[in-house]
Amino acid sequence: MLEVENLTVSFSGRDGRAVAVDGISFSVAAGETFVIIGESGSGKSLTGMAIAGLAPEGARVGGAIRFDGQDVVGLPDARMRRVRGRQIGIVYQDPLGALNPVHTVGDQIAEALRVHGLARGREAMARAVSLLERVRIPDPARVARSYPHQISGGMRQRAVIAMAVACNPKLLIADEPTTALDVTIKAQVLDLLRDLKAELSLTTLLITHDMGVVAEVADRILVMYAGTVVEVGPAASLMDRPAHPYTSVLLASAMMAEAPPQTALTVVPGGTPPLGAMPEGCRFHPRCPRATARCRAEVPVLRGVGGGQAACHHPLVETPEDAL
Amino acid sequence: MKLRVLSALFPTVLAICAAPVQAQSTFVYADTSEPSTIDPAKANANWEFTITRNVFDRLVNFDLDDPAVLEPALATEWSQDGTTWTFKLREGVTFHDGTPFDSADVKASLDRLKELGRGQSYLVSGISEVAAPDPATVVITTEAPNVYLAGNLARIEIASDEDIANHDEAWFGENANGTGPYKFVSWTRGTQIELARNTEWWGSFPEGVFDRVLVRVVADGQNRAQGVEGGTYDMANFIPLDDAMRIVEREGFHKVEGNNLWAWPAIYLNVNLAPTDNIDFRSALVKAFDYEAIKAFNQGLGTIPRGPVPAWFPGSPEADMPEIKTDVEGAKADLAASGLGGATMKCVIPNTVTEFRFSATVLQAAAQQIGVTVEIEEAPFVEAITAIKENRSNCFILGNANLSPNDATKFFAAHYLEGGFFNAGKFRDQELEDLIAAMPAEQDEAKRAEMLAKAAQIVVDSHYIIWAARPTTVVVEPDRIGGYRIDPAEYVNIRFWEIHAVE
Amino acid sequence: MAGFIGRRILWGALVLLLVAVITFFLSRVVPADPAAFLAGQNASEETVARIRAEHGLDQPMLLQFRDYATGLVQGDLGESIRTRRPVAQDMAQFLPATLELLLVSFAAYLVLSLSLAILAVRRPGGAMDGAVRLFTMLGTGIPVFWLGMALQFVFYYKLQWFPLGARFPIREIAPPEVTGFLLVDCLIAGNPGAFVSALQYIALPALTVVLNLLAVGTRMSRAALLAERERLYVRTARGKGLSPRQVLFGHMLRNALSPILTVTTIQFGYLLSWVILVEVIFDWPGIGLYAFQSFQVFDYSPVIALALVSTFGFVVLNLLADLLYPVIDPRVEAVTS
Repeated sequence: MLEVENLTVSFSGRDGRAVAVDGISFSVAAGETFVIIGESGSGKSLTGMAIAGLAPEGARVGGAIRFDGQDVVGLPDARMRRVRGRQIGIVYQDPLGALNPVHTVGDQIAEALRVHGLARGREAMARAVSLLERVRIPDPARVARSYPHQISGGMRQRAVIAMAVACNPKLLIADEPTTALDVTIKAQVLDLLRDLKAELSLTTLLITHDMGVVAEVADRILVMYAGTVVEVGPAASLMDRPAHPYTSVLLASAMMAEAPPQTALTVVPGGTPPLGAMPEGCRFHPRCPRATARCRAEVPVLRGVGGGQAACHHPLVETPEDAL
Repeated sequence: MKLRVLSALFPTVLAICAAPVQAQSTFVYADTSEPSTIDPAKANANWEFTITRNVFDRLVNFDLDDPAVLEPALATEWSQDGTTWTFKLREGVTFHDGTPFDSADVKASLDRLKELGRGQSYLVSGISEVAAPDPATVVITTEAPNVYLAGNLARIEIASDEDIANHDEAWFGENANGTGPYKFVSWTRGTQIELARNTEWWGSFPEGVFDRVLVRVVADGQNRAQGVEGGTYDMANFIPLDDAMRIVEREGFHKVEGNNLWAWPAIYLNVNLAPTDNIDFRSALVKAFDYEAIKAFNQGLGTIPRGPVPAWFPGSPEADMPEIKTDVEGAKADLAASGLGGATMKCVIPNTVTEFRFSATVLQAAAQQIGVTVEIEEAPFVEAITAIKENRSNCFILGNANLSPNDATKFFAAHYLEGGFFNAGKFRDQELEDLIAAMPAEQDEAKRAEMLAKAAQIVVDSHYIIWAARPTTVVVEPDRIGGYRIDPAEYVNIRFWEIHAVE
Repeated sequence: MAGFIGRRILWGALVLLLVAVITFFLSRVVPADPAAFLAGQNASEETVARIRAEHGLDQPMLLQFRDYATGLVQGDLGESIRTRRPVAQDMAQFLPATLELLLVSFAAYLVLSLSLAILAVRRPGGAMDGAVRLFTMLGTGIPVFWLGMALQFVFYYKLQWFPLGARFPIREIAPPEVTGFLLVDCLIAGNPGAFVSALQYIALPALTVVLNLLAVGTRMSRAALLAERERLYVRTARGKGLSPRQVLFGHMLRNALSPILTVTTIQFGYLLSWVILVEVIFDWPGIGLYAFQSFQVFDYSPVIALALVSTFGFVVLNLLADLLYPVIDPRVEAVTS
């Protein structure tokens, strides 16, 4: 249903071109929940936004993104607008920022219906209220009349979700939907996403840095690091037996359940390298306990490892070739 | 390309949108200020006279080309017998509201003017009684024989006695019911006053006279100039000289030249404050002054005054008086005689007029040449005149203008006699006081001229005033309009009843 | 809410009182004597003294102030020595012309500064952005006085595109005065031709006022819009499938309005002073020209009245702005309650 092929997102800066997403490829099948995980700066959100045609200004998107067989890269904005919101719904990380503070929640949901010609006037508002009800907001009529600052964070995120699914999209891109929420609300929102997925037969592309979230919903997982794919595979096998050292560190950090998500990642010493100064060879090698001279010189390519694929010279799991 | 089409189209579109519904025969006059009042008993500025002179009539008018000649107006005949003047009035004249004009109107108007004591009342200050023995006769008695009375009455407008009885001062301030060639129609405050021709007027109009006159208030000289040049206004009261000279060179315009002021500017020297209290010192300043510089400033237009009375004035001694010329050596000699070499004097001058500022600088430079320092300070008019009156300033600058066509005594009284408001330097000369007091009683014209010559010479010899220039007035008249004549005894005037369209 | 408005009105009254006191004493400090002007050439000392007495100018200053203040409280702004009419009557006569110029300028300012900002913000740093910046800078760099004269010279004198020195074609009959707002009166009279004429007459004065304010206004609107562009709700709106235009007008503009309103309130003060100056340049018969001409003959009551009226306008405007903030942005209701 969604095929991403050799996707690059780059910015032209003062020191030439900075490549934030560097030739990644993956495909999402209809009905599955596909998770992209990575630290901030890994390019995961950019990937999501590029798919929705919302790459930030100045970004150059290369490669191909085929949505329902149609390449949306380079599609004129006027045509992309018919896809966006209508076929692809998007849920954002910061629901307060994502909502326009000067319009009521109901108006903003109704607008999604209106702009695609699905409902007009009062009917759009009525459907907005029922959408709020659908995302399990109590007293939806009141909330519809409220301004974003007048409702709680969890309600806001539900409202954003209601807006995303208003037009019955095929694909839901959820970009860190729970990061800004506290633990109980987070669980409720994840439940909601899972239920909606079933009710509306949604394909979900979930973007997160939080392995804890992944475990609950993912069918397949793609791990990104510094703009490249380091590992991709079915959720179960990937989480059970990670092939890439980076994946295993991510998993380890998620194990420390009590630790708040921000500190969890500090388990991996260092941070994502800056865009302009990518290391030679494997981009992870400066932080990798298993790095060798080869890692410093040679860029690893994705190859079959365990149940999925990993880009590592020294995977934690035997490769099919090794097994031979 | 788009822009070119647009810019070509734009004026056309404007023209179509605003196709003027031009009323036939309208004359638009841009005046300098809005009247404070159009009450003939209070009006005292030329932009007020623009209305009053045209809406009201006077007993007599004077010939603008020869101010010595008085022409009949509301009076057809007049004669003086000692302190008594008798005027025979024109019959069949009516006010704009239809009421007939008679001697009672003259009496009421003159009585009111004297009672209010405002406006031009100084011109009739010598009147002791006005009588109306019959509807067609007015007898005016003066305190002393006054040969100038008829001439001064050429400035005094006559209103209706019924209006005077029925209306208060406020009504007169913004309404006008005269017998004159134009009727007052409306006054849109801040914008314009509209007049309409009085077809019932006793006088005669030239061919092409305008039926409707709009007097616009256009305070900015540049705007008046551009407006006349662009045809928005037909004529204007006072266009800055540079603009006027430029416009009259253009096709479709010509200039009307004349001498309408006595002297402008005039530098008054304080005779009560050192060092200008010294006559030799004043003489040195008069001689040192660079008259040619002022003439050049006026683009060579005008003359250098020889005294207070211009050549056009009836009985003027000007032609026989010696020229006043720059004479630096003479100035140095006078300064040496005064013993005030190296002195410093202070000039507080009104800050509103370019010519004043310029003449002050000329004085400063001239004085420097003979080693005298002039400190110039600019101040609002009243502050400047107060400074010299309170002896805080050695000099003051103003125009030296008479507003009577044939009576110099009022002018001398205001400027050179004791108690005159504009006698800023407090000059006083007993012989001059006596001469001016005696002049109106003198029946012999030649003797009066002799007295005037003497009076003028006293002022000249006192070196009280430096008359910097007597500039020519330049009025811009479009070729499509004719009939404008300059009033020599007014700053600027306009007689709408003489203005006409030219084919 | 009512308490807030009450407090603000009280403050406004206090400010007005202060302005009245200050301008009154300022006007009396300048040793100017309008009586001499009224008396005119060749007047005697006696005449001048009489006029002075008629207008109470011979009284001690404090006594003059007492009389003035007493009148002021009763809504009497004194009498103009120049026009010899009550100042309140004159103000009522000239205010509509000023308000008309003010409102037209204000509307033009809002429309132009917003449109230019929108044009500029489409591609920040682009050619249009540069052009807008240059154009607005030029307008601001040129002093209003000179700008007015230059516009007059070019558009009236050289090109003859626009008329000069009035509110309406001089030789034509203006529509009957109903509101005093000539544009409105033209419409009331059902005369679209006259309306267009009146619009032409107001164009240059209004443009002069506006051009001067445009740079700051446009720059602030541009900055406000630019800041909004970075906000997340913009992405959300785009994510819904809205076109950039829909996002701009439906979402960004209203959010940008709060900072724009703040700047506009400040700009309005300048607008007011430029309108007064422009009235003088263009012979626009409003309260500015009225006060200016009175000032020239040291007739101060109109000048004080102008100060009071414009202060009043400013106080009202600020109050309006404060009432408007919560309407624009529901988050700020706390301020006024």
